[in-house]
Amino acid sequence: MSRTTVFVLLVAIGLGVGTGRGLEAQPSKVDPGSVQAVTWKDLVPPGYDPDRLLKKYYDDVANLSDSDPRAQRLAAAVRKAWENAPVVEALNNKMVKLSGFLVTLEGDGKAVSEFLLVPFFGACLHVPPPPSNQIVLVRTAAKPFKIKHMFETVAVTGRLRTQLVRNDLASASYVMEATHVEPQGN
Amino acid sequence: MTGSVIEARDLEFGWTPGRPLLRIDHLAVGATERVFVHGPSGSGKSSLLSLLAGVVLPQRGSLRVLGTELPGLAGAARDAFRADHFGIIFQMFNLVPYLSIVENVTLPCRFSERRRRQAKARGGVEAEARRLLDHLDLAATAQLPGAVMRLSVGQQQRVAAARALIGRPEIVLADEPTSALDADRREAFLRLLFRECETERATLLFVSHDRSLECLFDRSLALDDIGYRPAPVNA
Amino acid sequence: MPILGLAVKSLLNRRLTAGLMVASIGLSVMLLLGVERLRTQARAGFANTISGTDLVVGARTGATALLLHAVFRIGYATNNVSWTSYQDIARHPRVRWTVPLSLGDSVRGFAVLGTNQDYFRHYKYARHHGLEFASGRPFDDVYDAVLGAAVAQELDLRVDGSLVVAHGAVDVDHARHDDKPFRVVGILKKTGTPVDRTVHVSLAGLEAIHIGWQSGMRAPGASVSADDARRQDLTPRSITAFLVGLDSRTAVFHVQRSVNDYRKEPLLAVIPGIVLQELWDAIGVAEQALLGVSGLVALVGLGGMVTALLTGLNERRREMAVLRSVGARPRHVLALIVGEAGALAAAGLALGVVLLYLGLFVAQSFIQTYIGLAIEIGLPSRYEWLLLASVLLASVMAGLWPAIQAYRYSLVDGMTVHV
Repeated sequence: MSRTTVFVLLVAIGLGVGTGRGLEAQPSKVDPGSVQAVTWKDLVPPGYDPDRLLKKYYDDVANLSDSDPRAQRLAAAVRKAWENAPVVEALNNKMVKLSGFLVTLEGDGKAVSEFLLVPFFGACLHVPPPPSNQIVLVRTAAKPFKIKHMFETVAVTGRLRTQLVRNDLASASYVMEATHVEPQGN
Repeated sequence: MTGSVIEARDLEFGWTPGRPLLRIDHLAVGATERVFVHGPSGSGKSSLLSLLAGVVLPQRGSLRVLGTELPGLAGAARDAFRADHFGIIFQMFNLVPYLSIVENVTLPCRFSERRRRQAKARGGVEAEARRLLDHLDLAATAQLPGAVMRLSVGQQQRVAAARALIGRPEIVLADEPTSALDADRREAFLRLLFRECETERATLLFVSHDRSLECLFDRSLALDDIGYRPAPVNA
Repeated sequence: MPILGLAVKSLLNRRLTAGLMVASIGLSVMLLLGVERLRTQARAGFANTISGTDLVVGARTGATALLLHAVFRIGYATNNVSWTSYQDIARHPRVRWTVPLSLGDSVRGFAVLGTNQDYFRHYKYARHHGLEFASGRPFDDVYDAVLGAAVAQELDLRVDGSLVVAHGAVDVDHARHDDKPFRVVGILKKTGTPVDRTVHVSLAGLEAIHIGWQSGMRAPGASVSADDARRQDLTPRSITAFLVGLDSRTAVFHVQRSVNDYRKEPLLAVIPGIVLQELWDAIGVAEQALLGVSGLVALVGLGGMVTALLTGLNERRREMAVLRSVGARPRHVLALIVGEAGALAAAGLALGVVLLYLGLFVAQSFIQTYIGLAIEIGLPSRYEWLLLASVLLASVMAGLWPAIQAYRYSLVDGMTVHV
């Protein structure tokens, strides 16, 4: 894998985690019965380090080209790890509020009834997709959200659930039933 | 003078300030009088009617109509006053082209509550309109629908007369109403007008340059008499 | 209100001019509302065509082209997906179901879709609405076909009827696979999507009719009977595209990336919601421009009204003088003109709405026939009421100009006769 690709990957990770870190200095308190404002960092279990694998092989990897099978295996390994990133069980069933970018999945052209909330812009374009614990599936079917344009920044309030995924790896993902979606200006 | 419906003193009026057109030292018209006002063309006959009706204000002097000092009223109040107490007939184009004959006659009742009440008390506004039209020999024509403008001039003038009289205004102002009529029709129109004014006990001020009608009236006023002074030539 | 009555009667007296003004305002209102309606309805129609599908995968063409072709049957595929690649991707641990799609043939103008029984299990539209059968069942035998509602209706086919598939998009005699007719075994309920205008057959059936057609034409002397074809290996070698459902929707980015990075064949995986959103964003500029033009047309209509009112004023000074003489205040004269403007606008709005609904009914059948989307014709939305109200308000305000002019005239003229 070329140096540039690795650099881009690290920047992407840095952006993702850094955005989360930058938003709040202290860890959020768990307040039962009321809405808890969470950051993207809160969705990552403490101790989980997504770029662990990359750091391990960084020097070797720097000299590999993209089509080298070893580089591809590494990319596949990183992807696999991120596909099944662990979730924070303590957040299951909590009412939370989280800001991020909206990626439409289901809608009727005017309002969105199902979407993915991701931490940074262009989450599906030129950089690798974020780890699966940095993606939240949001359902707003009860009150579809009127969308103005792609990748709007929104703050979503709702009940967060950690949903077990039916496959061998026993991984889980975040799902939220939104009660409130508000656009966040620019 | 008590009993005057119109009383003017030291009245001065001109369309351009500084160029007075009319000067009236004293004028008094009593109730139910039939007054013939004459003077040469441009002598301010129409302006006099506009003054009396409160459409324009004199530059100087006093003008009392039915006890009210007109120059003391604001524009809207004068409009209301005119609606309540005056009926006006013009020389031609008296009627609103898009309204029917009856609608034209009942027009004043749209703008004067007093006249509407008076007409209603007589059996309904529309019924009153038809009654007046009947008295003016227009009963048959009133039934016909269709353009008001297809009426002959004489018929139009009589409709205007009915409109001027509906709701019993105290004063009827007529500005050359017969000038567009044939000679033989003029007298007939006048007789009908006189009869109605008498029935309704209205005061009539009739402006015309046709001296042949003068003898039919109670009183005749030349604008010279009431103090007409022409504007200086080089003002 | 006495003045309004006068205003209406005054307009009725000038029927021709008033009629023209009403027509002009009516047309512009129809345009304004119509553009907005078709815009939202078209979007809804497209968005409601596919639901619950996480990815659409095809050859590496373009995202919009892929979605339009695979799901909306618009356009042509330039390349296919090999069967082995399809099997490979289908085996991805996060993939829960797939539906293969094969397009290219037609029956009398209707697209023929080769697929398998998973299509009837997993294809959803309009917010997770599954496909339902009006009569019959999914296909089973090689030569079974399932018809969309519009196909059955227009070709007057029922269960047990038969049809012949033509090669390519245009149905011509020499291109028909008429030695291997299909039997209708099921008819789907109406969906308001391109499904209604599709003939569904099994992949095996499509393979069977194409034996001997490799060059695109019937190879002379290479004809195989329908029954003989059954016995051959009818596994397709390639398909046009396939739909993918995952075990968790949050995995969609990762699987998409895997497919796009697939080394053995250039493939493209798209997320339907995103592609549609991109489409709307791109078209959005054109839509805004269209709305802007409609707004200008409305302004022109209003301008015409103001001009007509203004130029008519001079002749009406006599009429105003008469009204003044019977006691109308100058504000009544103002109200008269404003009332005329308002009455014209109201009539124009009413006409516009009538024309709109007429136009929608016409457009509805047209769009249904050619694109297969259902356009809803409902009562005006809140936005549309707002639009109508602002046109009315704008007309009344535009009417103020000639009204103030008339007001000034009436003050100056008083009762003076302008003969």
